[in-house]
Amino acid sequence: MSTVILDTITGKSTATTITIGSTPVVSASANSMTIRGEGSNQTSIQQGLCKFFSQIEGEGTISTRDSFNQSSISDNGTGDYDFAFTTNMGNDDYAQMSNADSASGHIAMQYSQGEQHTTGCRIFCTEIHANNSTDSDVIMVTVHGDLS
Amino acid sequence: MSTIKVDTYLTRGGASEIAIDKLKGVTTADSISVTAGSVTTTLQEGLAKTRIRFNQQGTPSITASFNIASIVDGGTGDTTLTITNDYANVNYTINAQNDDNSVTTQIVSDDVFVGSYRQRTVDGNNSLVDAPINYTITHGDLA
Repeated sequence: MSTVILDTITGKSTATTITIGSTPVVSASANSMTIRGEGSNQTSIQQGLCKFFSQIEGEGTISTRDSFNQSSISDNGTGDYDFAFTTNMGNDDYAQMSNADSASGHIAMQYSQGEQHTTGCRIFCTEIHANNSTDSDVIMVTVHGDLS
Repeated sequence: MSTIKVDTYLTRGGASEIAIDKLKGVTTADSISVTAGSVTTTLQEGLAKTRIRFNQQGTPSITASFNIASIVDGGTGDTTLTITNDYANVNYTINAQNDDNSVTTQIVSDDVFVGSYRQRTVDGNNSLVDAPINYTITHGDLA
């Protein structure tokens, strides 16, 4: 058993590039780091990370309360929102989840498969009992998948 | 302040592996970059801060969870989940689903706090119903 106690580790050749074995922790090349999970199995850090999340005010003039990897939001009309990513996804096959505030039976969901893009995604909100498009004061979205 | 400059870590046996219990950013303690694809993302931002699977029917019970202290039964289809390590603010993202194809899960935004949040399950008539299997995951900034 050996222990290293220190404050900073930097790359010797390139300060921002450190490699564990053949796997870059931070570098210009794509890769995958594994981490042992709660049991004995291992999982991928990169695959497990959420690549985008956002909570917005969806009524009136829409605004972002908190977000990660979001460059902008757009109001396309009643219950219809666009979310743009700062760093793009690698493809449009990512997993997207969305929820809305409970008022009047609101639900939020993916607009359509064709509205998932590497640059962003589209969400619509409706009232389940009336099937009407509606704005909600809280729209929450997360995305998991491969970055570009 | 001590610094080690190194390009590649290997175990003494040559394995591509590092054993460590805690990671913390240097420039910013709560920010570590990870390469994903050809770009980098932030480890801490990407981590789910809570997750839970629970049963609303009968006496509500937690099947499995992370960073969830307890669940509180608010009546039919109405559950409040309390968080062990609180969020820094109430602006975190909550995504919830259930296993009933006629029931949807909603967030009660007036009851989202740094240490708890409330969700409801409703049918197509917007009537509250209990669902046997509920999944919720949250992302945001911890305190």
